Amino acid sequence: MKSILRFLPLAFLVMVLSACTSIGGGGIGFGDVMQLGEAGSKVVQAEQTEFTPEQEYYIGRAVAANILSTRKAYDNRSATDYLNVLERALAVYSDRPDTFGGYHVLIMDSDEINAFSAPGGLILVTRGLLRCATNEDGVAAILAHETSHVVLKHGLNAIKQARKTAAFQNLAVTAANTAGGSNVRELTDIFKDSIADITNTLVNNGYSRDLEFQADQMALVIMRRAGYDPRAFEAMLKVMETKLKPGGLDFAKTHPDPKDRIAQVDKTLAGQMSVAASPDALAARQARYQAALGGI
Amino acid sequence: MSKVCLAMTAFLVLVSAVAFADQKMSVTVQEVKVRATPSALGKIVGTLVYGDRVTILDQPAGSPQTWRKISMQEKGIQGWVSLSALTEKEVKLQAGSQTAQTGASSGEYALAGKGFNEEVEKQYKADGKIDYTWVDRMATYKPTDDQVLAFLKAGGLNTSGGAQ
Repeated sequence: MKSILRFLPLAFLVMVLSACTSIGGGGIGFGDVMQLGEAGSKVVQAEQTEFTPEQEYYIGRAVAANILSTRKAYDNRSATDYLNVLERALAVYSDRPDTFGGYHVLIMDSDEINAFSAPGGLILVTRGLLRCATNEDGVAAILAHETSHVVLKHGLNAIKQARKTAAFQNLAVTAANTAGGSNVRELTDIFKDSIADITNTLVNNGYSRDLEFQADQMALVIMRRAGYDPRAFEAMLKVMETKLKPGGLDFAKTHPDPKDRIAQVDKTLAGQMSVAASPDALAARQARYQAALGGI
Repeated sequence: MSKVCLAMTAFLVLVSAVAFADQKMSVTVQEVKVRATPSALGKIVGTLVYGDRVTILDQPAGSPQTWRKISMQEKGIQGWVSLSALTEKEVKLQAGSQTAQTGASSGEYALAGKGFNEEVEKQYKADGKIDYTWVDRMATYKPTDDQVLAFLKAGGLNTSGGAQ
């Protein structure tokens, strides 16, 4: 009996902690600490352990701006509008329909097979990658994969731990300093390094195979929820496989071999019911896909 | 033994009920629509902006886990908001600014806005002469609910709006 009572406060604490972490995207995690202020009044100083959605937004904008500094945008409004409606139609079926600034898609004027998901929902996709899709469901597969990187915050995870620690230490000091005080210079330097970490991962190193497979798996879920045929994901990867050139600086360098991705997708889809659509619905999708991206 | 378990359960239920009744959350995105139903494409009954503090209402049985029924008395709004737009932390905005400000008073964590913010972006742009033209243009690509619903409907897709 006594031993049970001894664990009661612990059980309660665990319950409260797990309840706290299951709700909200506020970005302050287990590291929250309370301290007594100098005057004895209770001052809460938060030890931040992840970026808030607002910070994620500014990081994402800088990553996208950086990538676009060396890549040209494809200025085609009807194709862009089509992708943005499709993106929203997918995002509402993700586990994160709302980000600080929302999801937005831009086409890059390039034949390479590439896409970049900047934190917060700025998705850049090349004409070359869009050509790997032969219908709307295939385009949905591409966007659902990129959306999943945003939902899973893979971009933010590419920031080196030392950078995060420096940023959060800086924040903790600032938070305790009610008089304010400018530390913009110092923060901008940390910001710059953080953007470089993410951009370097997106452009040069790629995410780990595990993260790519995670994004593939989540994309299949989003597609199914929205009503798209997840098998279109596999079809799109098969086209990609024929188009990727060994030694290329695009997905050939930063993503797992399409063969490996197909194998993983196959495993998931085996035994799952396919998502059916009426001939009229499929015809409508094909017509608008052709109108928007037929000449991509 | 069983009495202890019963007492523990009763205590935890009581504590949870009290906590739930007082639960407040803040909007952690620039803007979010409040919906009549727990669906990202449900009828819009109001708009909340960054920092708005809302009261969490009782969740009807069978409600989607990723949605919260909220009310905001000051705006006279009651409806549903996706959990992805909310945080438990209080967000305090600087007067006349879209940027959040820390209020390091008792019980407030509000760290938002103290880190990478508008000021840092301005400095970063100036340092590297980074061009944000296309990034700013991207932010204007905002399809309306009607457009998205019509798109889903015409394509024979799911129009429920994500209330899984």
